[in-house]
Order: sequence, then structure tokens, then C-alpha cells
Amino acid sequence: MKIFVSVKMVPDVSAPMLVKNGELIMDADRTVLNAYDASAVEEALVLKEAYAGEVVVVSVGPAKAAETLRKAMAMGADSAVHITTENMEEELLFDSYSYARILAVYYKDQYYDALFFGKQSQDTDAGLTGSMVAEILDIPYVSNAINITREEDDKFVITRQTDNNQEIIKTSSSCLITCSNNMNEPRIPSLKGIIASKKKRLQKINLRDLHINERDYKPQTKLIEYKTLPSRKAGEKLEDDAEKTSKMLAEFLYQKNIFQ
Amino acid sequence: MILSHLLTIHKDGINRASAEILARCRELKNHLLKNSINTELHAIICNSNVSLWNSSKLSNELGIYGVDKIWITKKGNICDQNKALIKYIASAQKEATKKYNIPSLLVMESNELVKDILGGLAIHINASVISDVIKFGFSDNNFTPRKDKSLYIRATRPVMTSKALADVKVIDKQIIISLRPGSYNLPDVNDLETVPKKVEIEYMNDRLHSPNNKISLKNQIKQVINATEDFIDLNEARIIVAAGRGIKDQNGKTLIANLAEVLNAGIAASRALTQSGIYDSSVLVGQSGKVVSPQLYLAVGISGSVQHISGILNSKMIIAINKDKNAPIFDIADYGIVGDLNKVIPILIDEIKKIKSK
Ligand SMILES: Cc1cc2nc3c(=O)[nH]c(=O)nc-3n(C[C@H](O)[C@H](O)[C@H](O)COP(=O)(O)OP(=O)(O)OC[C@H]3O[C@@H](n4cnc5c(N)ncnc54)[C@H](O)[C@@H]3O)c2cc1C
Repeated sequence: MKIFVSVKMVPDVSAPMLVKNGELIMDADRTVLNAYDASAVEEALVLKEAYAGEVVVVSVGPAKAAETLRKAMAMGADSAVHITTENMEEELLFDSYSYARILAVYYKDQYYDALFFGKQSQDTDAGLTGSMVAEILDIPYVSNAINITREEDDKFVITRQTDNNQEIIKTSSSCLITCSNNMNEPRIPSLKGIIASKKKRLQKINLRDLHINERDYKPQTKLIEYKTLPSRKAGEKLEDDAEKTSKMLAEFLYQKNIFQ
Repeated sequence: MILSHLLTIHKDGINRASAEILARCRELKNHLLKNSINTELHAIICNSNVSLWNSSKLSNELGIYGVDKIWITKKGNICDQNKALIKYIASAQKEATKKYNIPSLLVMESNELVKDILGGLAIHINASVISDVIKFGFSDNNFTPRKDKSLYIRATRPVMTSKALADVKVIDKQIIISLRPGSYNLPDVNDLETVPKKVEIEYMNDRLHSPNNKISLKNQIKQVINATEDFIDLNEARIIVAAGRGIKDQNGKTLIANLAEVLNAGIAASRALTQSGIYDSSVLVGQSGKVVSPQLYLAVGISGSVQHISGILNSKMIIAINKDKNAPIFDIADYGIVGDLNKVIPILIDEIKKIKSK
């Protein structure tokens, strides 16, 4: 069984940040493996451990993205593919559409049982890339998976979270699955894993060598500016014994017409 | 141009998010009409419970929003197969725009149903897409379709776990947007069409969107697990009581259930509790769960992590109960109680009962 997991390097959203003159200022060095992708890697590794197979992680990004791929290999992925965008200014402007077009060109020529994606990325929360790739490749897909098992050698049984319930879906191989972070706790790489990852194969492919026209991955969306969130002011805060505060809260709710 | 919206119909009407979206679309439509730009508002219905809604009910419910045309299927529910839903919407959009060869803007609610298909649909119909926005419109001085018949749409969306907003633009002939519920106010009935116009209803040729056999055989639903039987839909709830790690265990869960009952509220949970299995992941609110927009969000024993807060910012009012007076949730709460929830909630329930019985 061969699973490719697409992973993305994202800015660490827990880092302090600031919006100034329409720009977002944050520490460019603080980057992490997107949490949802980490869950996708974890799930691929669990399946590999149960049913044997190979897990390959793939990322489109600048030189630094290699760190993200090493991290995924330290978790246990067998090898990595880095589609590099070095010295490409437009890389900074890529949107989900750009990533989807580029990844689809790479996956088109690969053999796979499944392509795993995180369901969204922590920085933009757009959540589009997975289903875009599935549509471009014309393969079945299941999104927002919270559990994946293998059946009869060529099928996956996937539980997905919907708006109000869960669905169990059966899909044949050569499918695409986007993973929720509610399906597992991604393992922390062990020291042994980290050392082993250094010897694992990391293939570099320059985006320019991938057979794709620049206009085919031209971003659809353009950033105009960043803004600060309209602030929600902290209101009244009661600190007193429970008897008093509860009464006041009930009264407050009544005043605000909450009971109907 | 064509403005359209994908909606599901229920026994009692359309859902709140759809009403918000249709009202916003109607506003844009009227604006365009005033500027002599021929515009129609269409509704694409994907779960035609035709038995519940006859054509006059459809016409009445949607006519007040100025809807000109409804696309509907005789097939019943087609929402449960992503590829089929994509094809269905695509053929409605194609039919709608073919006639006039004009640009289109499709606005959908940002929920799991839509998240499932959004990217795929955009590729399928060759549209540009902006997901999960809280505001959208035509660019100020350029709201008219341009010479090449493309539109310029500007939208605002939360990024970086809702620590910042990004304004983005797309220019294209076909554009799709998904909108967070609660981003626009529910319309006042007096502002809507008093005499609903007659809405044209078009049944789709269901052959056009039946999934090709290759795909449908590959992708089958085996089972649907209804996590919560008797529940108040969090997307619709006026009031939500949300439980965090502070409630600890089943006893705490019972307290929350009792409070929700007197308030007639829906119940949500933070990730701490969906991870530990105390609540089902269907009720998770936040970055990786639902974005909610109730009149009141009552957070109990929730610290207020950025990931949780990012799902509740569209709430009209936030109230927090937490024993730690420095908990970040208080920074965004309109009203807060510092105290032990095990003491506060039972008294609160009694007080609410007292007031209600008066
Ligand atoms: C990628 C990613 C996505 C995430 N997505 C989400 C998401 O969608 N939703 C989400 O909720 N989280 C999400 N998280 C997790 C998030 O970071 C927090 O870990 C989580 O929200 C914490 O939940 P909590 O507030 O219930 O628990 P805690 O942070 O542990 O807070 C518990 C609070 O309860 C209070 N308390 C304890 N006992 C009492 C008592 N007796 N009376 C009153 N108060 C009491 C404490 O003072 C404390 O403030 C995500 C994390 C990541 C990395």
C-alpha cells in the first residue's frame, strides 16, 4: 500500500503578530508542520504499521520547507519529495489553487493507493486544496476524516465528520482523503527517528522542471491587505460569592431578553 | 449577472444562514438593478423534500428575498455524495448562465456540507473561489461586470487562527464564495418584498448530474451515525452553552445539560472534551470544528484558546464562567463570572427557573 501525504510548512500561529499598514508582521523563522497535515502523516503511519506499505510526504515550498519534510520523516515517513520554489517571488503569493495545480501535476504520474491531505492549513484555514486535487485528477475523495481503516486490500473505510453526524464511507483505492486533527494525536519524533530521518531520501524537484505552465498555477486570489480584527471589549467581570454572582447573571440574562 | 445560493430546505423553512445570505444577495441585486445591470437571484435547492414543500410554499418562502428562479431536483436528497452534488450545482449554474452568457457569483454557507465540495466545484466549473469569508461585495468603483464580462469581488476573511483579517480579491467570470454564518444580520421582515414575486421553478434534468458509475461504485455511504439524537442544531441555536475542560466529568456534563435545558440552548464543547470523549466531535466549536453565531454563547470552564475563540467571534454576546480570573476568555466576554462552575451553575439554574416562573 502506498500513501502520499501532502504537507505544508506554515507560520507558527501561536507566535505574536502585528498588523501594520496593511501588512502582517510576524517572526518569519517560526514555522511548523501544519497541524492537520501532522494528523494526516500520523494516520498514514498507523495504516502502514497495520497493513505494511510505504508513506511518502510531499511539499511545495521554499528551501526551508525541507525542515518540515524532515520532521515528517522523523515521525516515520519513508521518503520525501520537495517541489522547490527557490528564488521564485511568486511563491509567496501562491493560493490553494496554485498548490492544487502543482501537486496534481506531480501525482498524475504516480502510483498510489491514497493521497492524504490535512483538511485545511492553520495559517489560512482555506480548506480547498484537497478537493481541488481530487477533482483535477478525477478520483473519489472523502473530506474531514476522523477515522480510516483498510478493507479487502483495495478499499478504505472512512468515518467523516459532517455538520451534525458522522458518515462511514467505503472507497476503493486511488482515492484522496482529507484528515481532521480529531482523528489522532500526532506522535512526537523520537531521537532515533530524528537520526534515521537524516538518512532517508529527500528528492528535490524544481518547480520549473515539473511539466506545468506558469499560467496554469497562477493564483486566483490576490491579497489586498491585512487588517486587525474589530476588537471585542471585555465587559463586566463579577468576582464575588457564587450566590450573588449567579443571581446577578440570571438578572442580566433576563434584562437582555434571553429567556423566551 | 446571476447571483445564486445553494440551500437546503427543512420542514419549517430555510435555515438562518441561508436567510442571511439571501438577504445580502438581494441587497446586491437591487444595487445592480438600480445601476441598470440586468441581474437575477437564483436559489439552488439540493434536498428537495418536495413532499414537504409544494411550489406555492417554495415561491412564498423564497419570493420575499427577491428570488427569481429556483433550481430543484426530483431526486430527493442529493447532498450525500460529493461528486453528485458538484455535478448538480454545476449543471444548474451552467443552465443559468448559458442563457445570458453573463458572469455569476455563487454564495454558499461555510459549513461542512459546503467545505466538502467547495474546492472541487470551483475546479469543475472553472470558477475562482474564496472560502470562509465574513464580508463580501463588489469592489467599490468597479461593481459592474467588466468588458470581458468578469466580476471583481473583494472579500474579508479571518486568517492566522482569527488573529488577523485578510482582504482578498478575485477577478473572474464565475466566482464562488462561502460565508460564515452570522456575518450579516438577519433581515427585518419589513425590509423584504411585501408581495413576494412569483418565482420560476425549474426541475433539473437529473440525468445530467447522476454520478458516473465509476465514481459512485467507488464511493458509497455505508452508514450514518447520528451522534446526537435529540439536539438543538448549533448552526441554528439562539443560545449555546459550551463546556470546557473545567467541567471535568459526567457530573459536570449533567450540570451543563440542566443549564442548557432551562435556557433552551444547544450544547457545544471545546476540544479538550471532544478529545477525551466526554462529548462527540459533532459539537466541537472552534478552528477545527464549527463556527457558530448565536445570540448568546455561554462558555463554561473554557480557557479561551485562540483556536476556540476563532469559532465564536460571530456570536452576538459572549458570557464566561471560569474560576481563573486571568483566563483569556474574559478578554472577549461581554459579561463574566469568576467562580467555581460547580457552585455557580446550580444556583444559576434555580435563579433562571425563579425568573421564568414569575
Ligand atoms: C490546530 C489546532 C486546532 C485546534 N482546534 C480547536 C477547536 O476547534 N476548538 C477548541 O476548543 N480547541 C481547539 N484546539 C485546542 C486548543 O488549543 C485548546 O487546547 C482547547 O481549546 C482547550 O480547551 P479548554 O478551554 O476546555 O481547556 P483548558 O484550556 O484546559 O481550560 C480549562 C479552563 O477551565 C477552568 N476551570 C477549571 N475548573 C473549573 C471550575 N471548577 N470552575 C470554573 N472554571 C474551571 C480553568 O480555569 C481553565 O481556564 C486546537 C488546537 C490546535 C493546535
